[in-house]
Amino acid sequence: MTGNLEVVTTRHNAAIDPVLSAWGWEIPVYLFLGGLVAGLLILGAGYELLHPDRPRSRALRAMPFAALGLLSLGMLALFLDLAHKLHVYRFYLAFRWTSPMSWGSWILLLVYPVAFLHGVGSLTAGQRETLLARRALAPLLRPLLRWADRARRAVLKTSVVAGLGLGLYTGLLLGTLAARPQWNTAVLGPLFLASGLSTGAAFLLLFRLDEREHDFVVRWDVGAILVELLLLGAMLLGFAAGDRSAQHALYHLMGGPWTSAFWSLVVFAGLLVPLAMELIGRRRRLPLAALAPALILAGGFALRWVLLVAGQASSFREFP
Amino acid sequence: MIFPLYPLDAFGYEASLVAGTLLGFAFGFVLERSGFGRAPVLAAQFYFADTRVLKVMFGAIVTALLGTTILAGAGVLDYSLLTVPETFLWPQLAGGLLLGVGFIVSGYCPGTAVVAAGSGNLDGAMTVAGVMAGSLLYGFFHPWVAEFEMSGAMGVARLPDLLGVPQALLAAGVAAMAVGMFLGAEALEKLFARRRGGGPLLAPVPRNWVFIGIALASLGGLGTLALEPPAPAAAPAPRVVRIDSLTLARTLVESPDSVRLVDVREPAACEAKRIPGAMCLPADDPGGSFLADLPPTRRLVLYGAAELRALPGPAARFGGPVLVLAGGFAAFETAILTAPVAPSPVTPEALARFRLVSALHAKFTGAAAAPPPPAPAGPARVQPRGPKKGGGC
Repeated sequence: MTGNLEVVTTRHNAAIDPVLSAWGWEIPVYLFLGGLVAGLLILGAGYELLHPDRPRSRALRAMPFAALGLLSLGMLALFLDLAHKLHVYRFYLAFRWTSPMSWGSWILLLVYPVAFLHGVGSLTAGQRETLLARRALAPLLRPLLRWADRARRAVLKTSVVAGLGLGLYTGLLLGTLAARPQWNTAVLGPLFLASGLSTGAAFLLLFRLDEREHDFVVRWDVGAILVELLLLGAMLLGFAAGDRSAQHALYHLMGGPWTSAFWSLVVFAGLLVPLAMELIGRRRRLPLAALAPALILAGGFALRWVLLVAGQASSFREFP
Repeated sequence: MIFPLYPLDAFGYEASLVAGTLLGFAFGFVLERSGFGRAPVLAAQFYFADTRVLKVMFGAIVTALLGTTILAGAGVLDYSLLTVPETFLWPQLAGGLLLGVGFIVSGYCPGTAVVAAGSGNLDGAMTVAGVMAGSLLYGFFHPWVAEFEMSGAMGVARLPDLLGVPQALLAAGVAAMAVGMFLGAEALEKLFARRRGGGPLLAPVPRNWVFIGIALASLGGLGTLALEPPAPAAAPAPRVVRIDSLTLARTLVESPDSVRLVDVREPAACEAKRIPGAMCLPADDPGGSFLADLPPTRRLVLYGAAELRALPGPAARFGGPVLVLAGGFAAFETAILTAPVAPSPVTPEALARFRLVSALHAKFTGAAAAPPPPAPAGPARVQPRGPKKGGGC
């Protein structure tokens, strides 16, 4: 009886929803890029808020614009996933505080101007002169720069808040979906935020940062990875202590079809190995290598991919 | 504990992939720490300036050889279950030569190229790209070399069988050869290093310990000869295990390389209709004498028109596990080759099985798609939608 109810209430029924596995490559790509941008915003703005007097490298100054580009790529993937593409404006006709999707739509709208102002305020004097020399840009840019400079700390703080919101919501979006036991855990929001911080840090480490920035980013990356490992452990424990459907979700990652991808790509290659490399690198003052960041980025993408695919296969259907 | 673990089902496929990842990282780590991520170190081998490639690689080979010899001799390892690639003499000679040329030109072999790419060396990354491009080109040109690729086929050829000597003796011989080559390589190193004004590269103390270890392991391997029973008077009856049609069909789809499927019916009946992927008995060997000589690297699955009550003689002499299809071809035809009937009443288990059988039926009969799943009983109305449900941001 319970099983039949579930089939009706969660619509896990091929006769009602003809497609039970509806999300393809677009959603993991979006979730990955969204998390990465969240990490970039938090770390970039956080560094300046914590150390306002330090000079910043070119890479860190250009970071907000990179974040905008990456987020646009993610949004494009998201747009490609929409079945009714022309209906996208409807997200912005309402705000439902109980819906993470609604929160996400508005957060995304907030990120664009904030990241843009963050970036504009980071331009060097030389870059500003070059841009202001263009007559077409000057009337618009001059007041914008003045405002971005005056409200710099407010912009940076909003940037951190927008980043936190973006990172959290990508996980909460899945976590609130009761129909999928694999996703229906409150851990997913903080987990995706921690992973976003770590991938954002890894992305920054691919570029030439100065020594203090590098230290700052690596320190935060190590912390984010440790938190992510803890949260992954909590997620698995939560599944183990849950009902049969949750235990089946655990089986997906512990013996089931996504075991090797989860443990090899996400946990081992995506977290433990780069963590060890960063710790050893810090202790021995080894020169910067691209391998650890590349592994973190691949691992962050694998985390979303595995959870997306395994989540779509998890349901209450097997438990009548 | 009996080895090898994976073929003996000590752990599943997924765990084997995790184990592979861990071993792969360990392998890469050791290669990197040995200096194999740098082309000058590898290339120095060819100038005799630094022969550590020979020492590490041959050292690894000898370690594995002596280790497996001792384990097999002690009855802890079943050699027949280790996967040994089949020998195709001419293409492998040509391929080996090509690999050597690539090794000298790039300074890397495929494994060390990956390590070098991981260390951030661009030449390593380019070598990996070259390996991939070469593999792709080979795929494109495969029709022209397909015949050559299969020439000189020797099946699974192992030196102890070819030379007729016990494995332990051969292993001791290879170990002695390795020690000789290590000493020779060091002599060359000294000679060439002196010419370049360098000094000796190795401290003698650890080297001597390694040699002692190799000697002891070789003796251990030879000692297992005493444990081996003199030639078995009568081969033990092979373990015949039944396999049902559904499991066989899944195995053929999921891991076709794990079984060798043989149709032992009359060649004419087999030619007319058989399980896709099965081999028929050749017309000039209707008794199937070749079955005894098949390499035991895969499980042998046999089937007749109905269930086989006794194994054909040659199959009984097969070295590996032999399975018999329960119910024979008739059962497989009913279970898989015939379109499945929708279950009634519809339970989750019945539906899952129906879906599986439908997919297998479609796969084995070449049907375009499995029949649509049945609608569960009840008032739920089917509301057709677009091809894909979107949403989410």
